[in-house]
Amino acid sequence: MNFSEVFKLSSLLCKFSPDGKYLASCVQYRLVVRDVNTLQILQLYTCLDQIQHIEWSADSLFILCAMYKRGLVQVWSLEQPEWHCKIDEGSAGLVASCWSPDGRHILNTTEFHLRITVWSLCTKSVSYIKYPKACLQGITFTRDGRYMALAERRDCKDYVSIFVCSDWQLLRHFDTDTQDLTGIEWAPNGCVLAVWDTCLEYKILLYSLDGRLLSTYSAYEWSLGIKSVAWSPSSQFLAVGSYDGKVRILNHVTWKMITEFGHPAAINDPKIVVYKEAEKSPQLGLGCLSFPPPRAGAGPLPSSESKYNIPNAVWVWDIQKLRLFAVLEQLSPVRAFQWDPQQPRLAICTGGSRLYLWSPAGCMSVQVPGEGDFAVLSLCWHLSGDSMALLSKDHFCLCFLETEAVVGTACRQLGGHT
Amino acid sequence: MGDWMTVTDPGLSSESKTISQYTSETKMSPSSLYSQQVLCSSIPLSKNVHSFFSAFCTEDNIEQSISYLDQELTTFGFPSLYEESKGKETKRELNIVAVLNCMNELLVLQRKNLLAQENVETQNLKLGSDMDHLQSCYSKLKEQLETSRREMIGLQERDRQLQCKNRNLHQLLKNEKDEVQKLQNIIASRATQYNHDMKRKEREYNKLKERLHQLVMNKKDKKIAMDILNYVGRADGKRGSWRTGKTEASFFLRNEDEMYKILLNDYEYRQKQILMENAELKKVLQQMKKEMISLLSPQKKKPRERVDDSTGTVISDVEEDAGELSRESMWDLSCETVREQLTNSIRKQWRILKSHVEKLDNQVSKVHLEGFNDEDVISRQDHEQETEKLELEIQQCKEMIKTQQQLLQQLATAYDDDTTSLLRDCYLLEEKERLKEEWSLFKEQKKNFERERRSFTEAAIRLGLERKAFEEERASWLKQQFLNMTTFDHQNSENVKLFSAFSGSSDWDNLIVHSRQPQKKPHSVSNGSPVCMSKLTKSLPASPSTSDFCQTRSCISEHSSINVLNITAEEIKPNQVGGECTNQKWSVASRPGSQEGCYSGCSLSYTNSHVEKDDLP
Repeated sequence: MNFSEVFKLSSLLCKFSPDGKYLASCVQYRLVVRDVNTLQILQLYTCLDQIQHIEWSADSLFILCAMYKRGLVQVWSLEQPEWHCKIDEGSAGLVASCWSPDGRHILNTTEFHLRITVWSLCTKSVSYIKYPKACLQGITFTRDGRYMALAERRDCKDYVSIFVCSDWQLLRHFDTDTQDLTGIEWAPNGCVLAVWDTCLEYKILLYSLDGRLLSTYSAYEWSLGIKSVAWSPSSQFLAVGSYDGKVRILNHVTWKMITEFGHPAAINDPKIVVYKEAEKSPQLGLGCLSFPPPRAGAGPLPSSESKYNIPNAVWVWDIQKLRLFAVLEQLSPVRAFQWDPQQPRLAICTGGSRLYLWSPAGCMSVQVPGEGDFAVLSLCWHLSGDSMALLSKDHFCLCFLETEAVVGTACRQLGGHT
Repeated sequence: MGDWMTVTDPGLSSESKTISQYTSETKMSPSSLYSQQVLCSSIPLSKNVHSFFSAFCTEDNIEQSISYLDQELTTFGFPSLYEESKGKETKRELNIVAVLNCMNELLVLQRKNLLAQENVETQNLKLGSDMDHLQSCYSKLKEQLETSRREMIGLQERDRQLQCKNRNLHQLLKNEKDEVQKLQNIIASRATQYNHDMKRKEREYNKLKERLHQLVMNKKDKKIAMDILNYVGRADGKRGSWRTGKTEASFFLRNEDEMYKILLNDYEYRQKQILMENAELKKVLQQMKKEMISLLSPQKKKPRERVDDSTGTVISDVEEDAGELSRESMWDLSCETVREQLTNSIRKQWRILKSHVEKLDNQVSKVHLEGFNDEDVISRQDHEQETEKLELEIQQCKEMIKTQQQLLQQLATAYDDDTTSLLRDCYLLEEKERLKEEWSLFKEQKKNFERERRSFTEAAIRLGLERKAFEEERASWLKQQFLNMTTFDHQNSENVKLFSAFSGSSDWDNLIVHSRQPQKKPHSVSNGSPVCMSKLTKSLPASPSTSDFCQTRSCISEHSSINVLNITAEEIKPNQVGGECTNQKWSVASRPGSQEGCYSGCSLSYTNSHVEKDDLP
């Protein structure tokens, strides 16, 4: 395992291009694009203000830099450095900006969710979508980039509109049976849309692409409900994490629950491996933690899935066998974790100077080298799964993972407790 | 009561004794007997009373007393003391027998009375003691009653208090319930109000949004703009098209079409998957059924003898199923038609299997109970020992690993450079070894090669000899021909023609030879043919050597047409392999260049296969 030198970074803005060739990072108002292999600066763009959000277009030709404070979006081309594009939302303000899947349209959400403006880079046309709902996850694109689902709110009722991304035509418009819709998410195959209600009520609805209601699921009533929802990459399972500390897996045939994963305080099954991070001077008081509000997130791998519960622990379930597979207990709260895009390998960071890697074979932690403490706050995998970017508050570095046989001296095997 | 009885009993018995003594005394004294007879009274008699009674009858009043007694006795129902008078005037005489009878009866009566009196007295005593006992009981009970009455009063008091409390609690509960109801109502009303408010607020918010929208959007905000250098092409290379009213509908239709296509594809995909899964499951089911039948049918023949109705039907079922199985196509039918049959048969089979297994289990448990305990214990001990052993091993292994890890770490941290050099050394050593191996292989090859070469040279020498012989023969033949030429002229002309034809088509012949070589290959092998031949044929596919060979052939043919004739003739007849071989050897020997080519071919064949190399002489 090798580490690159440390580069400057601001507000954790560092992203690999979708084709895996480039790495874009932001330093204040400058956008730096590097080659992933050599890490040499290929382009350097200067924006008008501090950048608050960046996003690569799907074809890796353009980068969008949003400056919400100024209501500005600047777009840069990688092929033509002299090309520029600036979108000013003016007094309407800007709260969110994103690419359409074709990489030629930009969707800007104005302040107060008044409307969504669709700017085209190909033509002069500008489209407006009114009544977008101000919610956690109001826009979702299908994986093939053909359709967009948008949560709307008009006349105190929730609606979902499905647009065709090629010409921004409305394909379907239907109301949903929700009190206060919180999120929508397409299945990876683009045929089923999951819609879930506010956390006050446990309710998840599944709609077909043509707007038919396929199924409704509610695990219980009268209690805080859904916290997070994730599709399995095969569209076969839908994982729903809720405030009762459980993950429920729904199947795609009957949309009924297949299984339910709890987070028991004590794990008795000897098959389950529990990794406990242990310092040389062991800190006690780690064994029993209260149940603070869990943050849930499901992994994208077919074989396993993970979720925080105790913020210090990561739980990994095996979906093939439908059982708990491993639990990783960290000393400090987990800040971020991400699955390797290529193999069942999980990278975890806890805001310390260590990087934790888990795979079914075992678990290890790596000290990020360099002077001073490199507090890893976030991380993102490269497409190929053999490198990843580690982000701290104002620096980032790349970590190159070679073959598993080569383990540097910095690696320290964590003690496995069963 | 009992106690009392035992205490009083002796007293009673002594009393009765005195009484019996007394009676016996009275019996003994004749005076008392007399007095009893006279008085007929039931009063207990005493000795001094006797003198008093004697005053009743004196000498003077015998008659009177007798009559008085008679009167008295008749009134008591006794027979008269007097004899029955025969006449009215006659004085009645005292009947002694009657008197005695009366007296006896009176005595019996007296005794009876005495007995009765005794009984009465004892009863009286008993009753008195009973009475005492009962009185004490009574007093006790009275006390008890008193205490219980007091208790009852206390309890009643408590009950009253509790009831009071209960009433209070009920009241409280009612109040609470009311409160809850009230609160629920309040909550509900609040909720509705909240919802209402929310809606109102949202409406207001919407209105405000609308206002804002109008204000911000409609006033031509100069700032809302896109400043772009030049428009870029679309990702898919198409040009952006403007929508017009006419195209809108078609666009929409197209989108719909696409959407449905996508959905359809998805459903088709899923259906396919489900079908596949179904087919697999069916296969499994079928297999299971087959296995079940095969498992069950042989053993079911035995229970038939035991006259079992259920098994009899089962067998028929099994047979039926076997018949069904032959209709394999049935499985391809849709599930609905087959389902019932299938499930029924499977269920039946399963039941049979289950019963069978249960039977077996029972047997096993019986056997187990009978005499398996000792072994079981032993095996357990073995187990424990084994596990202990294994644990020890694990421990050792762990320690080993630990030490190894430590060593590794030490090596890695302290002697990083050394390790790399060491590693490199290791690699070099490995390489060296490999090279050595290769070298030995190579040497062997070389040896073989040498051997072959020797055989080749030998063959060449032989060839040379043969050639000489041939030359001589040819010379003789030419001589003969020369001699004949003068005599048969027309024959000679024909021969020449033949020669020219052969020489002209020599190239073509060579081509044929070339093409036939691979076909000949199996022949030569099967014959266990001479090595050189096989070698050559093998070398032929390797292009450079073969071409060389061909060239040599053609060269030879140009040299002397007779040689060519020989070769072609023999090669067309593959059975004469030996001769052919010598010919080829000869051709090889004749051209050193071609020999080289041949060698190279040989070496090629070497490298290609080792097995054939071993066949060499």
